[in-house]
Amino acid sequence: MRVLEAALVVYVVLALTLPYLLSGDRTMLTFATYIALATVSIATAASYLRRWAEVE
Amino acid sequence: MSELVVALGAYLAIIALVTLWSRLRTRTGDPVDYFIASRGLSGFVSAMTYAATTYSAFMMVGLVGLSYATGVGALVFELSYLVATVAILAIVGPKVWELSRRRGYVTPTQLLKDSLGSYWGTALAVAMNAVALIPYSAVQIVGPAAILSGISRGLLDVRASMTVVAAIVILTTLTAGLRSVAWTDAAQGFIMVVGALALTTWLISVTPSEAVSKLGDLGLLSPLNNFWTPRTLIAYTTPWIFFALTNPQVFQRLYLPKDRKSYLRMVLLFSVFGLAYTVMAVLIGLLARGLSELGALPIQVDVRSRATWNNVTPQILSYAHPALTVLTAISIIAAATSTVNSIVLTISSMVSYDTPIPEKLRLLAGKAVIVVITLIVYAFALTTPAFVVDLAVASSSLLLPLLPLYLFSIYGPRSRLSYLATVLLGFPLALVLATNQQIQPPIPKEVVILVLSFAIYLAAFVLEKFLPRSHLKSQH
Repeated sequence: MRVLEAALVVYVVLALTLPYLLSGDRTMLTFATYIALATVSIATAASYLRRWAEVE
Repeated sequence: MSELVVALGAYLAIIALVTLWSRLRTRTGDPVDYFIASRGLSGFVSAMTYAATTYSAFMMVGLVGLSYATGVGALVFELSYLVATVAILAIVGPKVWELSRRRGYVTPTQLLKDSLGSYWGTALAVAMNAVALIPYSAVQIVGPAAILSGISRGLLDVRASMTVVAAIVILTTLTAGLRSVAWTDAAQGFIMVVGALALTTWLISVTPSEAVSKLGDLGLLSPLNNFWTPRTLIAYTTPWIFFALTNPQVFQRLYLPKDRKSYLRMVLLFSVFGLAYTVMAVLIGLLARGLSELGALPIQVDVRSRATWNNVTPQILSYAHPALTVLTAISIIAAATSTVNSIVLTISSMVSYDTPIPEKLRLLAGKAVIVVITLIVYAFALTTPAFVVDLAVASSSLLLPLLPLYLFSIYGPRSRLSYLATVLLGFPLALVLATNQQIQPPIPKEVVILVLSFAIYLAAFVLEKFLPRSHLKSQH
């Protein structure tokens, strides 16, 4: 499962680099910021849930 | 044309094979297996059916159009939904999953009946769900059928396209219940992502950096602009951030994972799916707008007219390679059918379990209800009367009064009077507010519905506490 959480982190990196690949400048920074915020929130929720899932 | 025949044939063959395969794994005659696969799904299948049920044709049609017309605020709206859903899945979801196992729930409304103790309140809650979700399902298949008809150049008219969609819904739902729905959802979820990825990749490859700069010049990369005012953002997001609890077809999916690890895997995979699909849909809309502003992709949509926003995707597809057009169209059909079949199965399970149908007839009744609901959805889609469109648009708001009912069922305080009062007063109130455009309160209607639903529940709870027991008797 840690692979999936790592995939979320990779997603942040991709999300932050995608705008630069698209435009070469920082005009898409808002777009990337929201994706990063969402990803961090999701990773936090996943981490919280992992503690519950490990108590089987 | 040949691309469409090949792709549609391949798509239908995949759906048929997966459906038949899932039939072999079904315990025939067991309603619990039919409606919730005996609570034994893997994390992967649970995640894919959760995602394919949640993400409808709205994503590649409605969200693309919304992003095209209004900019990056559409991403804020849709990601707010995703983050809220994952938070609910992490905080409330485990409790629901445990309750369903401990008390043997099959339907979401069984939780209400068991905790709040009103048989008739539950029957009304089932009716609320049907009133909100049947028109929503009908409208779901109209857009994709129109796209399929458009690209077939006369091979399939809109009626024939809708018949194909309705036939897929009947096949995938009736054959093996939740197992065939979940496994075909897994296949359809894959098709949805591949279609969106292909279209996004093509648009990125043809978009020059000037197109993105143009978006910035138009204020479309700013989260707040002329369209996305704080009020609009709150109005859009309020019903959707509670979607995981108010919509029974996704609530029921919390019962499905076979163990805690599968539940965790479901949430993680759904999160990745949701994030990827959302970003792609918004990017498609934004890039198409940038290209359109440069004149490279002349899309004929008046961004000031909301009614035309759903035409953005069909127009983008008209400029794409035929193979890409067909793949995307099939992915939109997959998104629509995977949502509608889940809604139909969930409503049929609620009718089977939460209305006066004898236990022995549950399965038979459930299958009959599947056919009846699908035929109603099909008829509504063919005719799309104005009231169906109004109810479909209002569906997410109509289900908001269910939020306090589910939350108080799980965490308390529980009260039968509160349950009845919220259903009897909250739903008509939501119906009037959500469908009557003359009523414009100073704060968004969605917030009014939500606040009043909680207020009604709590007021009835206080009333029940202070009235003599001989007049009202709580079950708890």
